[in-house]
Amino acid sequence: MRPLDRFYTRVANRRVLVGARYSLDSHFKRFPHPRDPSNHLDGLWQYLYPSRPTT
Amino acid sequence: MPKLKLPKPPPRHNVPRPGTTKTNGNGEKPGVKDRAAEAGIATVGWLDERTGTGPFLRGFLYRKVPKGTNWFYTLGSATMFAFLSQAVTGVFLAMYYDPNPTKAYDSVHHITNDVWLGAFVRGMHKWGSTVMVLLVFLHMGRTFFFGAYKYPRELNWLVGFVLLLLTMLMSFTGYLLPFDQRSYWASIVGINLNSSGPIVGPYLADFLRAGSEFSSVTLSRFYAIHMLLIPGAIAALIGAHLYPRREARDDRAAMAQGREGQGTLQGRGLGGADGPANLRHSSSSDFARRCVASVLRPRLARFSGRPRIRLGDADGRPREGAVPPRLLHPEVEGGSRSSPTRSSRTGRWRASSWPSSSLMSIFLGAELGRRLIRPPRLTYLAPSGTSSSSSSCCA
Repeated sequence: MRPLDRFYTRVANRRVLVGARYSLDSHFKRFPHPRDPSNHLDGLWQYLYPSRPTT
Repeated sequence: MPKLKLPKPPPRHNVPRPGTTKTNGNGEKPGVKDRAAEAGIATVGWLDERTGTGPFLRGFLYRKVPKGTNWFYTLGSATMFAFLSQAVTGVFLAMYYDPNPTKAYDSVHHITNDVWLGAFVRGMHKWGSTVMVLLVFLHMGRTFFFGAYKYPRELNWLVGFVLLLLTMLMSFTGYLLPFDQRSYWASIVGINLNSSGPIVGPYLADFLRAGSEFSSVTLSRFYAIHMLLIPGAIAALIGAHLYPRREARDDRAAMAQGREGQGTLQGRGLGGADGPANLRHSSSSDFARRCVASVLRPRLARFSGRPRIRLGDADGRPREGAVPPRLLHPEVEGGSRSSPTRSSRTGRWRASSWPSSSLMSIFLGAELGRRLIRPPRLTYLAPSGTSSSSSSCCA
């Protein structure tokens, strides 16, 4: 399942600020760390694509 | 204490040092031309006396070439020349290139349009990379079809495989450096492809991107990998790739002269006076004949019962203490052989033909699969109210 990338946003001074990226699984649950496209996020396959610390 | 007497130095007037002659060959005082010629010779002699390059170059350039050598054996040298060309042109490009995301494209534009011979050097570097990849594959094909990857050259084959990977990585990292739209998105796709590998893929992608996102550091990282890391590794591995090859050549030359090998094959029963008689050197330079023979010969011999490799006398009787064929040089004998066995009926050496069979199976299987498995027909989803087109379009 390809992750559906989203970005944290907030409004400041009538402007939308785009924050860090995060990913969603097929149930639209947010993952703590963003994953690359083609990385599986569901089932057993998700353990083959471990999360990495953000830099 | 008695005074120690030192021996007198040898007379020096008979052997003049280079550059100290006062007369030329005719007994006349040397002119300007004689001095100029003497200066060059003296310089070379001075260097040769202190570095020993003369014997090295004589051994390197006048080494005997074994029988059966043809133009296909020059592909490795051509690949190395392509690498050297890439290194030289890359140095000149690096003088003007700026690995800054805001300046990289402009610096490449400057090289192409403003720098004297910049477009020529950049073109050499760009097309040279394609030529290098092509030559690497041709060289590997020659090595595979001539059976030169077998004993005792398995390690050399593995080193060559690492060199192939490094060459591909060099092309991949160099593709981003112009930093235009095509190179940027091609690198994005390439990094995502690396990321799709399980377990190590995400870490590999993070290493290439220098983080979880493509950033300005990515270009610097690609530039450092492209310019510093991989060329050094390739140069070192080329040295490791060439060193055993030279020893094997010396052994072959020694065996062709009836002498005992001094290197890799010494003590394996291949040297000596009766060693070269058992080697059937190939004298043909026809690549197609070798390929066809490597595929057909094992099959024909299976029906005819004739041995393909003779290690015995003229009648085919096995010689006492004969060496299995896998110890010989496969590429000078032609054919594709491995895992030799001895026939229980005739007592002669036989070799299986699984490399050629597997290769043919791969080709035939790919062709068969291409014909049998048709790609799914994609239909264009037209808006409601219009007829759908049957043209294969992926929207």
